[in-house]
Amino acid sequence: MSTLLNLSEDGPRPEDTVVLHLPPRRKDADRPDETLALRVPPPGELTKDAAGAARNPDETLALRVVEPGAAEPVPLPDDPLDELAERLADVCARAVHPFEIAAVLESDGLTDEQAAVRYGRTDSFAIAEELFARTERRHPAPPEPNDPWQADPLRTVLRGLLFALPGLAYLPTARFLQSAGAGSALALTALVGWGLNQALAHRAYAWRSVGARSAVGRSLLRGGLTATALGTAAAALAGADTAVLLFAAGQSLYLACATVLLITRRAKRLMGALAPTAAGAAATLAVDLPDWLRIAGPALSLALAAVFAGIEIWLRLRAGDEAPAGGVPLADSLPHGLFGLAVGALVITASFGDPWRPAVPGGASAAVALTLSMGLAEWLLFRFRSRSVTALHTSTTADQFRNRTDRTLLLLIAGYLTVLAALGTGACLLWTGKLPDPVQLGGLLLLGALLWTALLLQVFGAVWPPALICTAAALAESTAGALHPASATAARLIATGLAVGATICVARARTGRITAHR
Amino acid sequence: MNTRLHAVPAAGTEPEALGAVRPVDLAHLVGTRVTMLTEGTYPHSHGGVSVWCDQLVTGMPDTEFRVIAITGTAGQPLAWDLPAHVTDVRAVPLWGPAPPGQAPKGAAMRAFLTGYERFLLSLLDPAEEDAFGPELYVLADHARAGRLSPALRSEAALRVLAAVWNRPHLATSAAKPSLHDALTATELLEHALRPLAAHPKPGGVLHAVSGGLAALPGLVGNHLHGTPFLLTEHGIYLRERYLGYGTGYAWPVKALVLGFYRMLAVESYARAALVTPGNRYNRRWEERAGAPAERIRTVYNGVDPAAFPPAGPEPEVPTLSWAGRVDPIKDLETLIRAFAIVRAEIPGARLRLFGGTPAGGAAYRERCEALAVDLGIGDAVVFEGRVDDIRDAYAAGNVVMLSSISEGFPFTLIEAMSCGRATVSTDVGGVREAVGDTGLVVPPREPEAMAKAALELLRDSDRRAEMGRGARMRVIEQFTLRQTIDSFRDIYRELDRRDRFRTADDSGPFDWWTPAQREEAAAAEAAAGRSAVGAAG
Repeated sequence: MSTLLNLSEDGPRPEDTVVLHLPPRRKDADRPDETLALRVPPPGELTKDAAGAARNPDETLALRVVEPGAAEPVPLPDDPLDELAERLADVCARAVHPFEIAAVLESDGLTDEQAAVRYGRTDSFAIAEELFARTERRHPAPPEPNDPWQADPLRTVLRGLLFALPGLAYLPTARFLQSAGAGSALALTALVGWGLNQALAHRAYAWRSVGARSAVGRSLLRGGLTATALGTAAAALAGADTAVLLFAAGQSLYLACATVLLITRRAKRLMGALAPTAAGAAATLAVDLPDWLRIAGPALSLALAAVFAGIEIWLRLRAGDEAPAGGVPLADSLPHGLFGLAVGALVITASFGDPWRPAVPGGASAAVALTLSMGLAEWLLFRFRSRSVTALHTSTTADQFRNRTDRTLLLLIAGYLTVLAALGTGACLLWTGKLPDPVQLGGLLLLGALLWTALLLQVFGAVWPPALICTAAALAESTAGALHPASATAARLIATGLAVGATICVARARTGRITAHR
Repeated sequence: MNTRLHAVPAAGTEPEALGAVRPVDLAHLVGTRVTMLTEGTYPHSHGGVSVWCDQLVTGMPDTEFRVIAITGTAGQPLAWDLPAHVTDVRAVPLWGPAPPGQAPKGAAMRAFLTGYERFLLSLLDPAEEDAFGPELYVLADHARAGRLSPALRSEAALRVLAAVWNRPHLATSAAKPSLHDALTATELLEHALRPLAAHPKPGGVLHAVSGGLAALPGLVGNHLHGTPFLLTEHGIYLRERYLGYGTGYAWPVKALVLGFYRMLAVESYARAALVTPGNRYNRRWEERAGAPAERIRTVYNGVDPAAFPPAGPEPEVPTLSWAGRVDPIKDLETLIRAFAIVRAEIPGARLRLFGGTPAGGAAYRERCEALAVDLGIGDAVVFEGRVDDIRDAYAAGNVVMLSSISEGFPFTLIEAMSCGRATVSTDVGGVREAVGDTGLVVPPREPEAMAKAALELLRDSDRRAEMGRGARMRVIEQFTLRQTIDSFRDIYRELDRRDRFRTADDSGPFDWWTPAQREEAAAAEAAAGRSAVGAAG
């Protein structure tokens, strides 16, 4: 091997350092030691012919490499790079390329001159390459990001109450709603309200996501008024008397206002608005109230909710910003409306029976249990997302990830159904003083599983599948009940069961996709 | 709202004809048509590179300019008034919703995935780097058809990445890349590749005013139409990426994304007809990443000596002045420590710091003020804040200081020199090239050395005066705005001419150096050689 060292052109200076890196010597080398020759060429020799080399034998310095242990060890001078390597240990270990170390060295103020004088290397790149080569890579995890899917469990209880409390309005007012057909009129109103408010919520969220504040206000105002009007009209068409019609109008308006307040993140105000209803219901249970006082609680709650919702709408309309062109097509909200309608139909059928057969005793307790469980359902949806993100962090292959999401899906559904079963049993005990019969409880759990999985699909952006599956189940139940009333219950259980199977299949396919979790 | 500002058209549609955008009389535009390629600067924001672009554009009123500007999001307002000879501004937003389009299907998708796999390997495997260029241009074809973003965001593309990362021979496999890492890396890559959809028209010269993503449309135009591609670098984009991705990302993500930026730099340097760094110091990175030395030519920033005339008499009280943005990169702590040493020797001395504190920089400023108080010089160090006329800042000092730990070719320094002030500055970036022997240059982060230099000058008024005169002469001779503009005018003309008369055998490197420049370069190389210890074997 012959190596040419370019020292400074005006000859070596005392501070010049030459570092030679020799390949490791073979253990079984033929010779016990090797000799290196270092020759300092006279000025100008390099530009002449090679023959000049032989003329200056005295310029050659011989270095002998000796076997370790054969002689007194000579202490080597400390390489100043060692100190640098120690100081930059972290940077070097996490570097992906020598360039990364060079960039840090230069940002640290290292110039090529310093590289030469202090470290005896040509430039920052040479130092960086050496440091990169001699450091073992480490792969520290980046700082843990905050879990965006954290949810407060206490909040879930409150959310459940928020959904269930309005039901208390029936307690003091039930005596005015005894006319024939009152039940089906109110059920129809609720059905229309759920469908339209689902669609309305989608539209408002969609406008908000494009930053159009006024458009949010406009859609809430128009949508809320439409839902109220159509809900009331549905009751009128069903032949409601004045009292029932008034109640239906109030219920429709309340649903619209609650939608507005939930979308505008005013759950606390909504809770406050419900206080008079809760107080009225409690008083009804304690004493026999006069008629006007029975109506006062719900009426006051409705007025408060309407005022609060009005304020939120007004604040948004006042923003006066332009809605972006294109907007939110009505067709996009269609599956949301359809889903609300179908779920409404399924819940009403399961709780109150349908027009072709008498209501199950204590059936309304199922509706109460479902409503109360909605807060928990929301929380579990957050848990699912949070656990999927954890699974993304801990999986390296798609199969690992799919297994983990499958397990999470089953675990969370089981957890939800356990709590729902407890709520259903408790509500039925309170209502009728008896345990619910297994068929009734089974129906409730199937419906709960369907609802939760459908909501999960919506969270992952699959809107049409749950809408279509729930609609098909609702249609199948009603048709079967109409054609063959005797087997209505069996038909209901089979239809819901098939729908649960279908949604779980779609949910597995959807949530097992890595890209669904970005 | 400027009517010329429009986003890149939806995939598959041809850009509007120029005349339809703005009917102006272009008959007087005799020069080369230049398409300026920018990222995060001109004409949507302010700052050093934007000033430079504006100087170039306004300095060549007879040249038609177009701009393809990579912006953060769509719909950013213009920050500059554009003269009439800027005939088109096209914004390419990196963020915001993905451009509309469909991923390829069936066999086309399989072909895409095979190419994508080769592309990813070229970023991670040193043996596969040759595939980067060819695969990049295939991705560009997909991008122009609107297929790239949806294809990259597909489940199949994600699995390709996860599989490539885990190949045992690649360093990334040891880092146990998670699927979350794959999502993050795909996201970063998808956004970074959006400028591939920009399709510059044939003809003229494509001029990227920074490395990195701004070069993407230039590479595409060069690949499709052979349009000459010119690359100017004030800083080193690649070096800044390495610093920016330091700790925030998992190792495999970093390896992939920085691999992309490194290979993009390599491709840009290889395809550029000419690379023009803003100082000679930056050439090191360019040459290291493969730019052939004969195709690199330093073009310095310039100032107008008439706008920065001699500053007049020096202040009565011995004063050091400093001008700039109050930012950690300016290392004011070293300056304050150095001043404390100066003040111990010259008790009446003052340090005046001119310049605003950027948003979020208040903490740094407070730290500096606290340091001055700790050193017992709180009264003598004054933060003057923003000044209306920056020339007052230079006039305020007997000596103008620059203490930065990183610079390109700082405007403040050549402005102070143009005002005829002696300077003490740190040896970073192109500072040494700017100052020459008309000021003192000290190592960065060394208060003692800086104090020694400042004292030397404060105690010798004759030397100060002589250096100040020399500094102004140096600016007039080497760093005027006119010279910068003329250099680029010549480069544009030459590239355009070469392109038009290019023949099959005329592909050798063009000699860019005037005899004077060649001499200067030889002298600089010799100077550099004296201090370096080279080894080859």
